[in-house]
Amino acid sequence: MHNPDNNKRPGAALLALTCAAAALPGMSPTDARAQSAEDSLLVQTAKYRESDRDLINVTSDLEPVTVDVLSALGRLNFDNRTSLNFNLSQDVWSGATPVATAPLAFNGNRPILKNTPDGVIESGASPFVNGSMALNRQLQPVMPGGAVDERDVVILSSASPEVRRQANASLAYEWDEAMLAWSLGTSRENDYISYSTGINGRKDFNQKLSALSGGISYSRSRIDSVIDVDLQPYLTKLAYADQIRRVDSYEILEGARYDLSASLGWSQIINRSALFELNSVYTQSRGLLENPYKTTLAAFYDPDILTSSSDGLVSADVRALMEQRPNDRNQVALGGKFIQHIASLDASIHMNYQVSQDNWGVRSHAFEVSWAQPLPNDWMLTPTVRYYSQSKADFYTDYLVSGQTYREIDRDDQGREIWQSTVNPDTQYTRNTDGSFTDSQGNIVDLNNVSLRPKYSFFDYGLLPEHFSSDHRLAGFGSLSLGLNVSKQIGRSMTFEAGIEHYRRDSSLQLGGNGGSGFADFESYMATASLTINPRQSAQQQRLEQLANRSSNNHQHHDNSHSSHHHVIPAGVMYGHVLGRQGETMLGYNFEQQRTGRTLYNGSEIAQDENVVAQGCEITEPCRKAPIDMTMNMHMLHFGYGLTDQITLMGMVHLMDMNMNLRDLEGRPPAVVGDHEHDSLRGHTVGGLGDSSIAALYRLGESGFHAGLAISIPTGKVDHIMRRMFREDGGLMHFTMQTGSGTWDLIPSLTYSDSAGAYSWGGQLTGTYRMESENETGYRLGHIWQANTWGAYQISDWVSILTHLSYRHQGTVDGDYNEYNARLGPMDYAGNTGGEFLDAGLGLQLNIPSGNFSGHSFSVEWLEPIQQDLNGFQLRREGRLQAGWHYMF
Amino acid sequence: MSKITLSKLLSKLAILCLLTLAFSACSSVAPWERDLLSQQQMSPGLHPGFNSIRSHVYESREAGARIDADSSSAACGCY
Repeated sequence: MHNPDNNKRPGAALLALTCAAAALPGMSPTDARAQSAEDSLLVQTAKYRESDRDLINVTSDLEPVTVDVLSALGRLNFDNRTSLNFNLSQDVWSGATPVATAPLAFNGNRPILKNTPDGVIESGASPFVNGSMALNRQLQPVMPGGAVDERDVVILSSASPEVRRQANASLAYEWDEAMLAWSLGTSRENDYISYSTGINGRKDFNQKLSALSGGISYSRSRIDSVIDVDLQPYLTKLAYADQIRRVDSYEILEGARYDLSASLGWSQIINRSALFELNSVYTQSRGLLENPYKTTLAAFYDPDILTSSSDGLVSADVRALMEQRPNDRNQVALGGKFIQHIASLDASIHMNYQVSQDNWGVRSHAFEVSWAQPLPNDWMLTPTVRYYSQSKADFYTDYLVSGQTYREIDRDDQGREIWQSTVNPDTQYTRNTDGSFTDSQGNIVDLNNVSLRPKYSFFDYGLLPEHFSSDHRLAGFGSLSLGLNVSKQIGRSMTFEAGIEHYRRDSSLQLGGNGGSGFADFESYMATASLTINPRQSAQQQRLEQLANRSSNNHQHHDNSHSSHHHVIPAGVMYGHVLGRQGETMLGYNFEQQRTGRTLYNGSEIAQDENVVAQGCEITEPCRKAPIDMTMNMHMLHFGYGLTDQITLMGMVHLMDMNMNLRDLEGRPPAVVGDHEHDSLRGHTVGGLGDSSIAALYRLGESGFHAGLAISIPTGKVDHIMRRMFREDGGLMHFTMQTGSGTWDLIPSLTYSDSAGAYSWGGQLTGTYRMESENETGYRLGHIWQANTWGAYQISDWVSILTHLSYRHQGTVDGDYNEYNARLGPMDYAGNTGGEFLDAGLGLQLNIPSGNFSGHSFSVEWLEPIQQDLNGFQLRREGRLQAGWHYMF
Repeated sequence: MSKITLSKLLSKLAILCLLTLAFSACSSVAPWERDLLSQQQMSPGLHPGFNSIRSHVYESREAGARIDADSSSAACGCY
């Protein structure tokens, strides 16, 4: 392609002029990498939800997979050359997921039947992974009626909710035409911890029309998976015997994996309206690459039957095996992106294609097209369509069929069954002619003194494929996604975005033919909302406004706008900030972590287990379990806007996660068959969106007082349930483990704050009044009233220390569950909730008075309980961590 | 991965590199002519938050390697 501009090489003077022009605001020339170089912070929340799976002949009542995400991405420039990029994220996963694939004839999802006044109804499906199945002589599955049916179905099981936290940071240094960055990251789940580090760089060429980029990264992950207690007794784990550790009755699969990744890319500006990128990534993975929660069903049959003269059906013994993937994986991905400006609509089209191949036999193609359409008033619409296709892994199989018996009892040379001690398996026994067990000396064994079990020889793994997996993500399939992103720039410094995407996995969409895994097809929806702020833009805007104010001799408003910054408000005090003038905006994030101790109290006294058993629940139903400890994490995003100089409007959204560990109470009554005994080595976890609120704060003149009235909207769930185990429903989770109140609540507040010199002080009275008598699951939380007082001393321009005293009275839960709850212990009874709490705290607040981060404040405090008087039997609270960030502009 | 497949991919990469260099040699856009390129809708990193979530969803539901996969966000993906 010939470009007439090629002959025009800019001289030194022209280059100097260019540099000068580039230094002007808004005239920064885009370079080929086209990354944002400004300080920025993006705060985002997202929700992902899958559709119900088709189980063909039974309807599952299990909630599908749902994920709640809260994340923050940002860039912080220390100077013109050094910057920090970070990404913090938390996901809460819950719902039902496939654990295996089975022929429909195996009946892996069995209906759960319930007696109701209207008769017996099907209330759900329960997973079965062991059992028998009939095959015909061609080894095809046969339905009970005798018909061959080769349809497969996923076996669905609920999984305990899980929280994943991720933190990545990258420190970068820029030269005039190059960049080098060093990154660190970690991702943590209960059963999976990963650490990573990497180096990446970029070199610009040809006046930044071209850029070569590359990097290398390494991650090490530790797997520590507690095998599902519901599945554990039915799972064949022989291949992993050396990697399984036992803790009490739990089995933990241990392993590690290592990932090394290298990337190389080229970015190129083609002309003044088009650019492209080419990228390649090579990833080498080693170690335990299996999914510890996925199994492959194997149908074992006696091969002699096929050679017999009978033409009857073949009975297969179906067993669930832990999947076996190769311990190494090498992946290569190549991708290209082309972006073209469309002058007639001032829009741009982004076209993206990626192809990948690995040594597992998975080959994938992804095509994606986005259209970014700016609209008047700083709106932008970006619809996206994506098509994806992958071939199946070489070792993927829906299920296995193996011509050997699963296991047989060992026999000695006389043909007698061999039994062994359950305590010492090396000690072996046989049966004599009258059926009594004898030891190796022929002495009859008293079965009251020894526990025996048959000694088995298991199937030959060598007759199975070396690697196998039924994880449908390794099957062949295609998918189609349709997405839409809407963004609106607010002022120069803030952008609001909302996005939705619909994803459809469809086996028939696989390139080159149907992937044959239609039984695993599903749809999902994802929705996001985010707010991005650019502090530098905001600071520039503020400076411009200050200049404008000065020129009009209007100093009053400016002074008011910052008056509230000098008042130190503890991080744990809500509705403490009121904005100083009309049009002012506030964005904030608060984090709270509340932990309990490990000792149960009754009122203010330590409770003995026998008292908890007898008095903590009901006389007719004594307590069986007690909490060991509980941790609650709350993330709160809040947004404020100065409607007038006196009135501030606020909105708040909460994201919560909680974890509680349980123990057996000493002296508890024996377990009753049919009662749910929820056991879990790592406790049970819930998480998700909490309640939201909208508020109006009114400044009472210049008195230092402001009054607030908030309405809490019940967006949090009050029907979190414990997972079904061994066909027994877990029932509703404990009162304190629900993420919402379930009621519309009124939250009035009266706050006073003032300052003199370096000192500032304040106080607040607030309450939470539940406006409904019960929520959808039958109860309402207790009313709350709270008093706070604090004092602070400013030790420098931007650092203050503070003390805080907090009193809180919370009533007991009113009413009771109107749905099944397992009544495990005191935490399931309304009388054991609420109390009085007096906390004292120490804290620190940083206010950034000037510069690019003017208007930002960071605060942290630790509140230690001084006195607690609990209603009924509860764990005492330990210290509370509160941290917050506010940004006013 | 078979050697044949790997060599095919590498040969594609080599062709892409040659094309890239060809583009690089032909291209010349002065900094003051990059006004369109600096517009938000032309950014290759458009909607970073939205796309990071999308990427995470694909990563947990698909087996193909991806260019935009973030190795530092390795997770079990056990659901």
